[in-house]
Amino acid sequence: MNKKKIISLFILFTLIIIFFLKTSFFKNLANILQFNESERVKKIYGYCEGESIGYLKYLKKRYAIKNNPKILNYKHFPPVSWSIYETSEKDSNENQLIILNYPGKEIDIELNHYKDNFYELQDSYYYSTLFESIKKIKIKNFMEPNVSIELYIKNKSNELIVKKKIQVLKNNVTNDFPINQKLTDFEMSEKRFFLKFNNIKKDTKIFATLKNRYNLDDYKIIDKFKNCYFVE
Amino acid sequence: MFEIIEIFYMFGIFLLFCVAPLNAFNIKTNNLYFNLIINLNLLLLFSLLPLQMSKYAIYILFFLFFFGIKNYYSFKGKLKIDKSRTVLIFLSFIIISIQVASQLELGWDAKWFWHIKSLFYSQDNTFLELSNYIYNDFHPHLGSFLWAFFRGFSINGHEYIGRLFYVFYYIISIHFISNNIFKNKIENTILYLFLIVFTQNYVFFSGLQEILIFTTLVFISKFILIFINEKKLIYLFLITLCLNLLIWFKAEGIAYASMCFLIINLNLKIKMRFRIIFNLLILSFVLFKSLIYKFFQIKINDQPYYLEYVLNLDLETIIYKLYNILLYLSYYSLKNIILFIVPIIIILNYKNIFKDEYLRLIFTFFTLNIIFIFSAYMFREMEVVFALKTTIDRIVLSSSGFYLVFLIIQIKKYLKI
Repeated sequence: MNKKKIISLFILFTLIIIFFLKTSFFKNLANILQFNESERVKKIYGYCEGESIGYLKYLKKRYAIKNNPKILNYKHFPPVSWSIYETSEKDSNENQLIILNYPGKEIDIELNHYKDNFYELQDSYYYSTLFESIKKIKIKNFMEPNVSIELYIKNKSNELIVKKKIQVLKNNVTNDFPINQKLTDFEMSEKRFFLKFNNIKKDTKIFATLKNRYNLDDYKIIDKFKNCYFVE
Repeated sequence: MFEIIEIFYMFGIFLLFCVAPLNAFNIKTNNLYFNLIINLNLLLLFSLLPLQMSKYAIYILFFLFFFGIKNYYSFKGKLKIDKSRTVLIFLSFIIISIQVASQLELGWDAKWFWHIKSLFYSQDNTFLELSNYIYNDFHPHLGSFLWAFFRGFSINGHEYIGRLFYVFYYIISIHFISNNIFKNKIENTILYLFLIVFTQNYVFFSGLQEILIFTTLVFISKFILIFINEKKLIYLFLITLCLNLLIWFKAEGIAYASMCFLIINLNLKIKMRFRIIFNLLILSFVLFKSLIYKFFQIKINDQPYYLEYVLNLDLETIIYKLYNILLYLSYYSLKNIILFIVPIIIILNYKNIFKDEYLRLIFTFFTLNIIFIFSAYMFREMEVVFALKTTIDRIVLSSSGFYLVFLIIQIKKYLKI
């Protein structure tokens, strides 16, 4: 065997090893041998966590769902309807709802510090589809009796456009600032949403309390697992 | 274990699409690759018929099997099979397929609409019902149809089985461009493996359609190279078939098909008769698609590009957009590397641009490609950073397929092998 052939075989062997490693071949093989397809789906997408495809598939089988119930996922993931979609049904069935990762009537979201006194409500469009309004603002270690807040949208030219200016008085019992701003008022689709607090210290932690659009008390619960629900 | 056996069996089914109608047993020809392109075009026609897929899928398989056997026995020459390469193709398919079967996760757009579009066919609906689906107008359907078509052969009906065809299509294209570059078989095998290791990534097989564009561009660039050397009409015909696939895979495919159409007309030395046939074929494919879309009342392009938006762009927005496009394009070109190396090679060979037909063609395609990428984000009514973050990696991947053959030739030239 000449030297060139030995080098070629060495390179070939090395590439084969890299290929096996890059694709995690043995780990994948063990995964297939150990778990069947539906178990792997649960492992990847979660049962009642993350995309919760496991719960959706369970519901489809258990209740023989032949239409497309509206699915709400309170964890921000891509749409999940693909897992149980019925193509013969044109529209989604608004009478039935599948609610995944339900957080309760209200949730607190920490606002992300953007720059200076600007804070961003990240994924604002996603939140605007599930939550009705920003009910109140909680500002850590802020002793003032009122706060001045400006609400901004960032347009396609990257400019911050002020949409509203409000002066809010502190609720001395709950120690927060009720603002009750409807999210739909800001036409958020794909735009970024910011709040500017005019008289706060640098690096202050700020939380927005969002009011849920969907209240479970308004629905009849057909099935429940942890905080995933099938209602009508 | 059963799933692994099923993957083996699917390889056999995919292979049937390479053995007929042309005789693929003569390894001196490229019929194996031609058959794949021809059959994909035939499947496109089937996807438009008002027939449920389950009614004809098995007959297509039977037809291919029958003609494959006929081709095998009618082949007069001595059958030569490169066993080591065949085993390698089989193994690389199995390895990537096992990765797909294990990781399973679909890409964002696949969850949003590609998989649902494939469900229309899996659940025995036809193109008519699909044309009423709310997200159908965004993109064409061929990739989703193939997903559903091959899923139909799965014994357990697992979704991922359909996606394995994307793996097969990709592997065959890499084999096509690496099988006769060097005289030595081991060197060709090294090249094949290198390209697979270098370009393969699970995300490409997560139901997104970019891998189909990438692979089809690989085929087109190789057919163009063969045409430059042999000047046979058959290669122009195969290019038109590939362009037809592009316009049915994804909305961006229309842009790539137009770019290929332009570079072929502008750069290739083609006999007038061939040129007329080529242009008439392309025209008829475009006309066919337009008529189908008109008949089924589908918008030709439902992408968010509006002339009004373009005309209202102010200078500040234009600069902001250009800056970000350049920034993200540079970053993802470095990550993908193919789009980064190509201009360097073109600059190094700038003296040959007017002499070398293939180099000139690559240069023109590259220029159009960059213009396309900039235009796609400049003219899109969407927050540019968000759009870039979520899509530019896939746009870079799609187009990079066209340059693979060129890079191989250049690397071979520089290494003087």
